[in-house]
Amino acid sequence: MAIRLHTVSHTYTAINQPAVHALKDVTLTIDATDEFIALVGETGSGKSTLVQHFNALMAPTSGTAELFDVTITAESFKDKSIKKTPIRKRIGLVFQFPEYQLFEESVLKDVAFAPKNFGQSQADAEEKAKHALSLVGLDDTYYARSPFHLSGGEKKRVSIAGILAMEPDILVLDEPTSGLDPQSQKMLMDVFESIQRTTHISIVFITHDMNWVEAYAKRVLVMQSGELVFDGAPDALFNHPELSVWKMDLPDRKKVLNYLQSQFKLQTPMDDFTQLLNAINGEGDQ
Amino acid sequence: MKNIVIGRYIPGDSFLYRMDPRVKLIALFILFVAVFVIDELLVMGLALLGILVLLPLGKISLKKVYFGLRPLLFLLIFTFVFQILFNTQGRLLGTLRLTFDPLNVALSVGIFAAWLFLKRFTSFTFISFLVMVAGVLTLLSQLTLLASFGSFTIAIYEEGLLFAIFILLRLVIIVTLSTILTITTKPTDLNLGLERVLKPLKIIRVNTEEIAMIIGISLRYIPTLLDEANKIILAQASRGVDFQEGKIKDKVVQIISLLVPMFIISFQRSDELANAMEARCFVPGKPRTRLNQLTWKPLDTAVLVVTLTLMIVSIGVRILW
Repeated sequence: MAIRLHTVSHTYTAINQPAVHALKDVTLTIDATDEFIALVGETGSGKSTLVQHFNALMAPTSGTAELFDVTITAESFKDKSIKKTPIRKRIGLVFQFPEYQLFEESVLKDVAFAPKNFGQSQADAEEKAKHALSLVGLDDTYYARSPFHLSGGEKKRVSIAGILAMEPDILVLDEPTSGLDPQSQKMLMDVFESIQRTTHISIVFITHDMNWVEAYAKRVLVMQSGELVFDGAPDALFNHPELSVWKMDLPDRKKVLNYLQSQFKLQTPMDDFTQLLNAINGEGDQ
Repeated sequence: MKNIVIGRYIPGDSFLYRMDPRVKLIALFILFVAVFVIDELLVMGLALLGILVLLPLGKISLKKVYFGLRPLLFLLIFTFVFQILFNTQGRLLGTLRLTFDPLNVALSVGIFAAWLFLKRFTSFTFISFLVMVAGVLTLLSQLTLLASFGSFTIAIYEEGLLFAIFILLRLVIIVTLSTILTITTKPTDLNLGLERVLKPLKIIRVNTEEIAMIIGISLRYIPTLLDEANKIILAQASRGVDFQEGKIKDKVVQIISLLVPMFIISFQRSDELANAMEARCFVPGKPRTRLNQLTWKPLDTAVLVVTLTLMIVSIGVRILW
């Protein structure tokens, strides 16, 4: 088990302001290999806070977070002899807004920044950076360009490449598809899938789009006001009676299926279009 | 980062919160004048005492004021030490002759290094710093075993010491008063108050609304930018930047990796803000109405009377003493 959270709670406190309970007793485990997890939940449900616990950027207010072989608690987080950087190399976290991390004068240098921080030589770091950039679909014409003159989607890809270049064991993405056009969204999700298939690393992504959950995720985590309310397969989630209570939507494919089923008054629930078409045609023949 | 209080409004309820922002600004100005008029250490001490009485009355904890003072701690100590060292007026109180020889210099460097190392594990960095300085001074003045290669005499004069304390008190009082203002006043109220207080300057064609707007926006954006800085620190930390560790060479890169996104984001924010203001048809200098109207309460009159009295008293004391 690579990430093991045990009754993790996190409370934000500020001077003279009511405390905000962002996480309440979250217990979950994530393997180091072959996981493809979607993390969903309405805005403010604690998703971003949760993923920041994955790579020791935050410490639980109570509970423990075992990240590979390091145990992070409220006390051990303050202990400077426990190094957090090695954890962050193994569990790479991509933030939602690329503006928060781009700073170098060229795309290549910016992507090579993380591997260099983890002790790679300049040449090795650039090699890794080039590989990571090719993975996200940016060719060598981008290497010398300034990251600040790129479009929003390109910046996003550079920021993702910046984490991929560290070659993490687990890749955590905070809304990787937000702010992108539909084609780039699909392209990026395909990139993550092929990375997952070829390298077998675990990937966790936050999303609001159920279509991505259905198309890519093998496992879904649902957060609601700081609590982990569902942990299971996407299909189990879509058939879950409390789906609307969690303010979740069905993927478009499911909606069309359900609509056609109700229009044609079919009794048996169906899960793919061929089956449905057959049923409809069969009815027509009778 | 989270505990920086400069310019940050902290909700609460006391007479300081209920006062009209105009009155707060005028009262602050009057008190500043009073504090600058005072030229006696004793009176300055009384003024500090007054502040210490005011804080519990206004339900503001000392801790919050301390957080306001902390960023200026270095400046305060710096002024204090320089006054003591270089002011040579008045009676000589005592001298401290520091002799440097290879042994005691090496030991002093050792003590300094030990402090640098130990400060990670204690929460009393400031107190341990004072202890460290005292230790080094004792060592340099008392212990000379090897041939010395130089010496320096610290002479402390009565006037210098008193003046150093005097300046320190004055700075502490001024910063505390300003911190009280920003803690108890919402930026929007402060802005409105400032605009109204500056209004008479319109006669000499000063665009007071714009000045108030600029100050208001700056105050409003301090917490926002601090939050942004925190997010950048986290984003860079997940790329392996360890802001607590690193050699000086690494530190430079760390700071650049924080400052560049900071600048870019600030410019973006200001651009967005300008667009948002234009989209709502903001025209600089046009007369506009306000959602919240300021009301003058008996409390405000009372506060003005009290502060004016304090100022007159301090002027009177200065003339008559």
